[in-house]
Amino acid sequence: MNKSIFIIAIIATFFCSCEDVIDVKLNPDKKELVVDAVITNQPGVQTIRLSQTIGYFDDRGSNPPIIGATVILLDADSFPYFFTESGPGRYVYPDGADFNRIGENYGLIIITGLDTFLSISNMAAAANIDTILWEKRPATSFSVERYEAEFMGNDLVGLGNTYWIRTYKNDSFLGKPSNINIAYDASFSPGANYDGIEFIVPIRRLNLNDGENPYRLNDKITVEILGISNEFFLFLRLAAEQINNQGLFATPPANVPSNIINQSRSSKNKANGFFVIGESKIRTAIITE
Amino acid sequence: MQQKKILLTFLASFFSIIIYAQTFSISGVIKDSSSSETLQNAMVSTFINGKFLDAYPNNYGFYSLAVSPGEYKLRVMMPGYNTQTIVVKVVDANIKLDILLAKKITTLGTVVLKGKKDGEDVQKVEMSTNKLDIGQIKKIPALLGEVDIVRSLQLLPGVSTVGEGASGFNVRGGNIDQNLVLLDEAPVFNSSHLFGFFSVFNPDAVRNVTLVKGGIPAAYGGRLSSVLDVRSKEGNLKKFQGAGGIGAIFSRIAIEGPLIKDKSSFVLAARRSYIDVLAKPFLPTDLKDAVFNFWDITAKVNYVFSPLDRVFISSYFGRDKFGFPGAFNFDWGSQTLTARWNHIFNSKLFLNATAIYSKYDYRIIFGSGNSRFDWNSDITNYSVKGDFNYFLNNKHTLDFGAMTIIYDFRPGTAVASQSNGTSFDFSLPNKYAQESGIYIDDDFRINKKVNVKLGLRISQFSYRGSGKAYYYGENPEDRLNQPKPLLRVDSFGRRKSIANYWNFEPRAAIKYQINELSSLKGSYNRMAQYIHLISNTTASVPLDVWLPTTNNIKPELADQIAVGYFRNFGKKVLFEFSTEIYYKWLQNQINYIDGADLLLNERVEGELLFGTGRAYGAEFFIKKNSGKFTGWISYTLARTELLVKGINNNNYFPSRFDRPHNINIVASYEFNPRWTVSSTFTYQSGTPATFPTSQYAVQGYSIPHNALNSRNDVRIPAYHRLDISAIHELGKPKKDRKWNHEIVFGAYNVYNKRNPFSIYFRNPAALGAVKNEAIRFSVIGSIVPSITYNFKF
Repeated sequence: MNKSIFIIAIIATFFCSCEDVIDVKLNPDKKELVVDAVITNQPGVQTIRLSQTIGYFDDRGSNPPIIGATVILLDADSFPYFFTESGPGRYVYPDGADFNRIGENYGLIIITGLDTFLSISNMAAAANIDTILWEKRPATSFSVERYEAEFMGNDLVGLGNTYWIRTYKNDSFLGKPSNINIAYDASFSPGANYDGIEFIVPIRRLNLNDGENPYRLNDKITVEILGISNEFFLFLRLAAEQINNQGLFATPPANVPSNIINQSRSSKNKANGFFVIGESKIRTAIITE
Repeated sequence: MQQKKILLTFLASFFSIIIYAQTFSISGVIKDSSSSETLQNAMVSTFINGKFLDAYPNNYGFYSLAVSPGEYKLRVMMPGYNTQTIVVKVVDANIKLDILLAKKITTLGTVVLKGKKDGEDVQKVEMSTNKLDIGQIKKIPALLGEVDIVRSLQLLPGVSTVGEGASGFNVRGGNIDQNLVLLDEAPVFNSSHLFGFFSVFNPDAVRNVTLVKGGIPAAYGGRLSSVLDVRSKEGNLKKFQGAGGIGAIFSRIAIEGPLIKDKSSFVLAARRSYIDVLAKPFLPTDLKDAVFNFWDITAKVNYVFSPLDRVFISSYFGRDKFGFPGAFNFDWGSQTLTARWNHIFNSKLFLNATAIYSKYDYRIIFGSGNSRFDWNSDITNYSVKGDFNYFLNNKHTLDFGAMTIIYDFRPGTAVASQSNGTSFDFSLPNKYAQESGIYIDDDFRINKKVNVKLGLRISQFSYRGSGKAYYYGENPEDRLNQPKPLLRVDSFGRRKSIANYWNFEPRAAIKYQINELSSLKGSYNRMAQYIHLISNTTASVPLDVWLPTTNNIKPELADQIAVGYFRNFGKKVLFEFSTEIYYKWLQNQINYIDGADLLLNERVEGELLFGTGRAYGAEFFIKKNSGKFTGWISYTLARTELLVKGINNNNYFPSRFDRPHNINIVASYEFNPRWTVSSTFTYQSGTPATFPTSQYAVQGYSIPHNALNSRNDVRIPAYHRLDISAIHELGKPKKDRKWNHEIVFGAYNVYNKRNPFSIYFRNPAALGAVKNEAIRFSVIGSIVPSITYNFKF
């Protein structure tokens, strides 16, 4: 629940609050490993990216790749899947592997230089998407005429299921930080105990729709539910908060915790990023009248 | 061991009381001659056995002097009032003497108002205390011309805020929830309107304001940092009068007068903002029904049953509302109700018995019809207390009493209605608690030079059912700032005790009078706090929830020592100077894990971290009270640091409101009876902040990262601002005029400074932008002019 957004909007309307882009001197940066490993049971090539942190004001996406690393995925029987480097920092496993042992632990080993990093992730199950619905909405002061999409589906029974709901419009991922749509059971947080029922409205409807980029007739909507570990749920929640943590009611900036642990005791090198493996379920619809 | 010593000291001072010989007393109530309102800030002075003896009335105007038979000349003085001399002959009985004082009137018919007797700070044992009279507050230039008590307090030494628009205030390194804010003795849990721009106290209904930052008397407890005691007017017992104003944001009206002459009177004051009404014609049709306003009502009645008994009932209701029908509705507010009985048992013993109800609640509704989310929360308390003042003799005044508070916490009731007609309730269970305290304070004037005040408060808190208690395990050292693992949940039946705490809170103050014009003072206090505002945002929001001390949350504790030097300058006390240094140790301070989820989260206690803190500083204050030119300069040099395992690599870090330098200049000049010009200047060090050093990419998101893993290790630029206002009295100068009115021109932030509230970092929204940005966020980024019209009749 982002409580601050509408409060800021209201204050901004009545006070001449203002925001200016300024130059700020930051503390020095330190180069650290970044792991981006999201593995699913969907057919196709599985990719793991290794890179380095860059200065906060450096160009986004200019992270130098980590080349020549050894990347091994282990299943619960310690069977190794060797990922090969197909491009700088891009490590892939070809189509054909069936990563589908839901409820079991997978391990990821990364060896780079003198450091060996290990990470473990329990493969989480995904909820079903029963159907995708849409409704025509008239234009208002806030938006143009548009179609509002919604998926229907129930959280899996049992407390503690976490999901990442990824939405694609005409096959392009709604990838703004504000589009990050995650669920803890059918709601936002562990304390809500909202179990085994329909996902609540913000999750199943509001977060599927990007106000600046609304759906129109004949658009294709793809909704993917990815079962994720509780740790990765926390990672995404904190990342979304930290990317845009602003205004009167900002929370203290904090680092997003990683599950990539350096096993080399003598080394002080740290890693950022995450390894997660989960079941993925996808549903697609075309908007008609 | 230490507590034993303190108890012994107490007993010793009791024995010393008993051996005094019997005397007679002169006692009564000091009142305003025109309205019969009681006066607290007077002083009764007489000459006994070749020595001057001063007596100060209590909070209800009651005074008592112990004398042996003889003839006495009493001089009764009060700032803004004509001094009165009364000759009293004591033969063989106590004398009951109510004293009426007449207000000084200037040629324009306006009343001279002042907070306290000039130079009084040097004489009294209390320190770290600021008294503001509403007349004084009204002269200070105000945002949008609206006089505001909390914003005025922020100009005093030791008081700060995280920034414009932030609710509440911070005293000597304390959080906003560590101030005990009392309106006619009822605790106010959220003292802000419009987030933090205005406070809930209607200046037309307020009589005086006292802020105690240190050496806190034993009568007060339950908060660590300060007591803000706001007293509303009693109501004129003789004639009707009123006041009001029309401003840019809201309008005010206050009336008072007798219900039964000399027996019963009332005060009724109301305010309402009207931005939404004014904005309506300019809004598009679908926004026409937007609601954006706040209002409040302050009311009080009193009845004099007999010269010995008086009853007061006072109440506050206020509400802030925001909403767009169909989309969301958000409203919040406080309610208080105080019933008070003042009883004079005899010439020495005075009782104030009080029953209090206080509540803060909010409600938010998203959506409408079948598809909506309805969420509300509140904190309610019921309390009774009895406070006695015992004017034992001219050396000892004892204050003692007892109180108990019953709390009902409703951390969140939330129901989501689905389009298919079903609804789901994810409300959190209510929490119940009781806080009790007994106290005694002895104001002991040892001799003309030394005055000590020793006190002890014993407080007790029980957290109890019906409810659930959550038990958590500890996290490993490298994951301290993640949610703690839940071990088990126990259910408790109604009134079954879940957790119990006791605290001994010694209080002590000493004054050494160097000479007529200067004194040295010292104080120590221990405070315990049992209820906590759970908030990890920069500025507190109306949604923040209060939680009791539980099996997981321990009572917050503070120990403070302060020493001060007080000095008056000039022949007729033209300048009052004081300087104080303080050091405070804080325990069980609440902090939060990274990304803590504090609302509607049953396991919120597992997302709290606890640490210690230290706050220390020096305060300098010089004030000129009389003459055409009045005002003050305050300078505070202070630090507030916290130590919490799991944050800042387990090192001390500055708190969010740590502002090392804080300078305030308040000046007011009366050019002639019709024009008064005032100005304030404020300079405060920038607040601490945490900046990222680097970024990394995961799944296409650029995530900010701080390679040092530090907290609050940089500072945003300093804050400074100048405000000016001019008060112009309208109408013809005439004595004893019935109708007074004035117009106030104001300019806030005169030199148009864009003071940063915070600096934050973001991915720019623009398509294709590849560089992250640092943004300076200013809440008020321009000059804010205003015109207000005030009247009085």
